[in-house]
Amino acid sequence: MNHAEKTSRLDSASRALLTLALVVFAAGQYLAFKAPPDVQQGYLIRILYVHVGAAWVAYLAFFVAMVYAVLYLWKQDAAYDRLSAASAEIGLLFMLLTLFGGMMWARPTWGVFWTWEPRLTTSAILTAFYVGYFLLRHAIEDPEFRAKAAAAAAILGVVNIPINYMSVYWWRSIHQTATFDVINRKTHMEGSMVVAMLVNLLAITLFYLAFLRIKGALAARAAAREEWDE
Amino acid sequence: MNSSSLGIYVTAVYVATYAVLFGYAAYLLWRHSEVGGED
Repeated sequence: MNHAEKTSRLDSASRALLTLALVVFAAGQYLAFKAPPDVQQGYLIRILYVHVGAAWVAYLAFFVAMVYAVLYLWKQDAAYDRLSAASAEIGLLFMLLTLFGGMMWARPTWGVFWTWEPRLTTSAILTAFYVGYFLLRHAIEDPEFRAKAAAAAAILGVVNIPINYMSVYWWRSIHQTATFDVINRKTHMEGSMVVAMLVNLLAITLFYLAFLRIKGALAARAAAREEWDE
Repeated sequence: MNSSSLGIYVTAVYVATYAVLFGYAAYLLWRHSEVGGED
């Protein structure tokens, strides 16, 4: 196999992850549109089948960014910094999707796209934090200092996640409580709705893993080229 | 609110979700074909 062939082809694990994500997502979409309407929300419940998965992946991606940030500070290996940034980028993308889905659900439910209630306010803070994370990365030229500052920001940013998740319990407001209540281990949904939500959640998680793997490989290649140019 | 106007909000969310998942996947695959991945 020549060099060009070797590098332009996606590795087998990434291809397998992407294919699996597509298959599971197709199943999830079928289940989401087959599930019955909710007693109170009607067909608006369909928004939640993808909204909850997007929110979960945003949390997961920011948490993984923090883990790689800690590994970078510990091992001083730039690969961990690249993976931390890659995970934060994907997390921000899914956080924006979460905000959009939430706004589309809020308009017919509450009558407004946005209100400064605790869950939405903490979501806005979480999003703003990761926008700040990338502004910080772009503002610092020295790669080592940039990686250290970004690692510190990624570790600090994770503090927002439990606050965001628990906000619906700590400050009771108009936002419904968590769909999957991990504190009391219960859900308020009917069986087929739970299955539809979990399959979509799994599919979006698989997409995240595939994205992280491909983005990480791209970042590694870009770093190697930069080093070669110098 | 009637079900047809609710459909607009549901459709908007699904279009956005497909755009993010397939759009980002397509972007990464395009970048990969341009610069390649890790050896």
